[in-house]
Amino acid sequence: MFLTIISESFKQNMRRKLLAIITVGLAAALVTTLLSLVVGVGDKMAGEMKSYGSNIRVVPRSDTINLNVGGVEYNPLEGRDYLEEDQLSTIKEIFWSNNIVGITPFLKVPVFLEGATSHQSNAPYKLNFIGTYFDHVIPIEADASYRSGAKITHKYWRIKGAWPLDDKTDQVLIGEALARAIKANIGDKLALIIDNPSLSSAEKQKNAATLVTVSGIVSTGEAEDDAIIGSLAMAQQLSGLQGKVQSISVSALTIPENELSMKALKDEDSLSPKEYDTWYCSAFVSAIVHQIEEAMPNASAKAVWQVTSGEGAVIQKLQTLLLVITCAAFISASLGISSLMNTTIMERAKEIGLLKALGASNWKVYSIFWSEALIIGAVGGLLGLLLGAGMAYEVGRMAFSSPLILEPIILPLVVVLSILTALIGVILPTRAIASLQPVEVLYGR
Amino acid sequence: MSFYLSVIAQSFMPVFLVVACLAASLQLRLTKKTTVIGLSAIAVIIVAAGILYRTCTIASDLIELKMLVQVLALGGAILCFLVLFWSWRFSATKRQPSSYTIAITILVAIGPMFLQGALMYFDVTSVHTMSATAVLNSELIINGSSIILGVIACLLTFFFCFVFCKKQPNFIFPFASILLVIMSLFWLAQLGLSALQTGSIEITAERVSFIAKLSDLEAYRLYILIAVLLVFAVCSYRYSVWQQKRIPAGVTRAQKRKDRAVYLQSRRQFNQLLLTGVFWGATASYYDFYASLPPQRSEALPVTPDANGNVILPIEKVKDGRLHRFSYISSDGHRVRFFLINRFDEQNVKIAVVFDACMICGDEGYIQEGNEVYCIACGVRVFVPSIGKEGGCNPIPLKHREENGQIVINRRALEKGATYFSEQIEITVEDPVSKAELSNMSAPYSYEHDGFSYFFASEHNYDLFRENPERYLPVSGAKHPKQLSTRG
Repeated sequence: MFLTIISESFKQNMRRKLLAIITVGLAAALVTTLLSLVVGVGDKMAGEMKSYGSNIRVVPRSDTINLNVGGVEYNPLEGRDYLEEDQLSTIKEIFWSNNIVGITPFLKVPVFLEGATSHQSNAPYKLNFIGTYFDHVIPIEADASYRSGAKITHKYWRIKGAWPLDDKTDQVLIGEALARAIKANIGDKLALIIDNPSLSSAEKQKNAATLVTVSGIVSTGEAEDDAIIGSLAMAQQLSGLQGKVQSISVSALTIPENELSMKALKDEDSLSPKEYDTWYCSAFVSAIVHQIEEAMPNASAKAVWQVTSGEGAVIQKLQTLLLVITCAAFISASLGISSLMNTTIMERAKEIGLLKALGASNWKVYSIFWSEALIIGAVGGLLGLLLGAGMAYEVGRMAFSSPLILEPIILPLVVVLSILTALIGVILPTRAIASLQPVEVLYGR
Repeated sequence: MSFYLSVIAQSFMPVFLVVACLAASLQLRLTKKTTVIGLSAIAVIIVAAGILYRTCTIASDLIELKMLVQVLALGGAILCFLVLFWSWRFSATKRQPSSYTIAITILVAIGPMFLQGALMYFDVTSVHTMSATAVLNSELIINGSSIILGVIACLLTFFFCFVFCKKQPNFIFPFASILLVIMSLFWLAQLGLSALQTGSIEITAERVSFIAKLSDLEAYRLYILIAVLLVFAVCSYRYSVWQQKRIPAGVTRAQKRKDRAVYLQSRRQFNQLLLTGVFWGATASYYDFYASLPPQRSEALPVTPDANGNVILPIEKVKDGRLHRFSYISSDGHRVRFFLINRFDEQNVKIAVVFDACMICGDEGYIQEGNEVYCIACGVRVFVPSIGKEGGCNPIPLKHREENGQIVINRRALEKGATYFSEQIEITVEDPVSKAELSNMSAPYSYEHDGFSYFFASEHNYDLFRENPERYLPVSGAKHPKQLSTRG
C-alpha cells in the first residue's frame, strides 16, 4: 500500500517532482565540482604528508634571514653565503643516518656562453652553471665508499643521452629549454666564461673560456631547464669558490607525520621531555631536519613539500569560501524543495485526511513524504554527480591543465548531502500535516 | 573508520544503556523539552571533558583528573543503583516524583559517567590523527562521518533500549544492576592502577595481580556488556511472550487483534535492541580482531648449528632480494630470530645478516612489503643498502663470515642475541653434572658460563659446576650445553 501511494504520487505529479530533482541536482553538481577541487588537492597533500620519503633542502643560515621591505621579501645575503663541501659527510653522521638515502650539493654560478647571443640584444648569452654531484663518492666514517648525487636524489630528472661522469669534469648536462634556444645537441662543445661583475671587460676577455662537452639533455620542469648542469668541481673552479657549496638536497626515508610531529613542527619547546624523546627517536622528517641543523650549526634545513607549498597553500586559503558556497547551494535547494512541497501538501490535503480517518498516525503520513524526499534527493544527487564530474573535469583542465578526477569518497558524500537537503526541505511543510483535522478537510473546510 | 566507531562504542555506549534504564524506570517521557535538555547536557559535559583534557598537559595531572572522575563515576553508579532499586521496589506505590527531581537525579548520577566516557574517548583518540592536513580530504571525511555515525548509533541505542525497557519493566532492574556492577568493577581497576601509579596505595603482589587480571579483561569489556544486554533482552522477551500465551481462550476477536498488535510491537522492539547489540559487537570486533592487528611477520625457519657449532646458509638461496627469516633456540630457551637479505641486486650480491630486532623498538621485528623493509613497531622504512649497519632503527647486526659462497654464523654470535628477544619457550636440557633431564623453565639453578646458560637439578650440582666448569664440559669439540628437545 505504502509503495502504491508513493508511485502514484510520482506518476500524477511528474512535473513537480522533476522540478525538485533538478533543483537538488543543480546544487549537487555545483558541490561536486567544488568538493572534487578541494578533496583532490587535500588527498594529494595528505598523501605527501603520509609518504615514506621526503626531500630536505639545506641552505646557509643567512639565506633564511629575510628582510621585509614594503611587503616584499628581500634578502641581501641570499646566495652570498656558502656551506663547506667537507660538511656533507656530517649529514650522514646524525642519529637517523641510515635513513638518509642520498645527499646532493649544488653550487650555482652565473656564466656567459661564448659564441651565442641572446635574441633581444647582442649581449653574450647569460645563464647559470649548476655544479653538483652525479654519482660521487662521499667518504663517511662508517662507509668510505658511500656514493651519492643527483642520480639518487633527483630520480625524476629525465635524461636524454648519458649522465656525465663525476671524474670527467668537462662533461655537462644541458637543460631542455636552453638546448632548444641555442640549438645544442649531445656531443657539442660549449665555451663558458665566468660572469663576474667586479671584473672589467678587458679582464673578461683575458679570462680564457672553459670548454665543456654536452653528454645529455635534461628536463626537470624547474629552473634547471634553463641551465647547464656540470660537476661541482667545475663550478668551484669557474667561480673560484674552492670547497664551497650553496645548497644541499637530502633525500630521506621517513615515517608519516602525526600529531606529535605536527606539534614539534610548530614549536619544539612545547614538547614534554618524554614526547621530545619519542619525536627525536622517530624518523619524522621534522626530527631529521632538526638533527641536520644540530650537526651543521651554520645551516638551516627545511622539508620540501611540493603540493603543500604549491596548490595546497592556495586551496587552504580558499577552502572556507568554497565550503560556504557549498552550504549556500544546499540551503537554497532545500528552500526550493520546501516551497514545492508546500503546494503538494495543500493539494493532497484530502488524501491525507482520508489516510488519517482510516487510522494512519501522523508518523505514517510523514513517512510518505519523507520517502518521496529520499527518492528525490538520491536521484537528484546522482544526476548532479554526473553533471558535476563532467564540470570538474573541464574546470581542472582549464585551471590546472590537468583534469580533476573524482575522488570516490565524493560519491557517497554528495548523495547523502542531497538526500539531507531534500529531507530538510520537506520537514517544515510536513509539520502542517499534524494540524490537519480529517473531518475538516474531508468536508472541504 | 572502524577505529572511531569502536572508541565511541567503548566510551559512550554503556553509559547510554544505563541512561536508558534509569530514564525508563523513572517513567521519563521523551518530549521535545526533555530531549533538548538531555542532549545539550551531554554536549556540555563532553565539551567540558575536552577542555579539561586539554588543560592537563602534565601526565600526573591527567592521572589525578582521571582518578577524581572515576571516583565520581563510582558514586554515580551507586546512586543509580539506589534509584533503580527504589523505583523497582516501590513502583506499586504510584507516588511519582516530580520531573524536576528526575532531571536532577539523572544528571547527578549519569553526569560523571559521561565525563568518564568522554575522558576515555579523548585519551584514546589523542594519539590518532584525524587528518594529515587542514584541507578537506578523503580521510577527514571518512573519519568525520564515522564519528557522526557513532553518535547516531549511540542515540539509537539509547532510544531502542529505552523503548524496550518501558515495555519490559521486569528487565530493567536485573540488567541495569549487572551493567553497573561490571562497569564499576573496571572503573575500580583503573582507579586502583592510577592509585598504584601515584603511590596513594601501597604496592603489594595481590593488588597488582588483581588489577592486572581486571585490566586484561578490560579489552573484552564491551563484549561482556553486549552479551549481558542480549542475554537479558532474550530472557525478558521470551518471558513476556510466554505470559501473553497464558491468557485464556474465549476472548473477543477485537481483544485478540489488540493482543496481536501488542505482541508484534514488542517483537519489533526486541529486534531493534538485538540489531543494536549485533551492530556494536560487529563493529568493535572488526576493529579489535582485524583492523587494528599489526602486520604479521613471515615464518621464521628454525635452524640448528652443526657439530662445529656453526649455522651454514648458502648465499645462492638467499640472494633473491627477499627477506629470509630464521630462528634459533638459545641455551636458555629464548627464540632468537635473525634474517638475511641481499642489500643490492643479484649481480652485486652483498648479504646482510642481522637480528630481527631493533635497539630502540625491541623485538617486534621487520617485514618486507614489495621491496621495502620496515620496522613493525615504529613503521620506519629501512634503507635496504644500509641493513647490516648499526644505528637509527636498523636491525642489530649479527656477527658472521662468508666462506665459499656460504654464510657461516657461529653459535656464540647467535647466543648473544638472546638478550634482544623476549619470547622464551620450554626446552629440555641436560644437567652437565648429573646428566639428568631438566626443563629450562622449572630448573631450580642456572649458571652462565662462557656465554651459555647451564641448568642444574640441585644446589650441589650448581656449586660443583661453578667451582670447575671445565671438568663437566666435553673435552673435545664445541663446548656448549646439550639441548635434548624443544617444545613450543
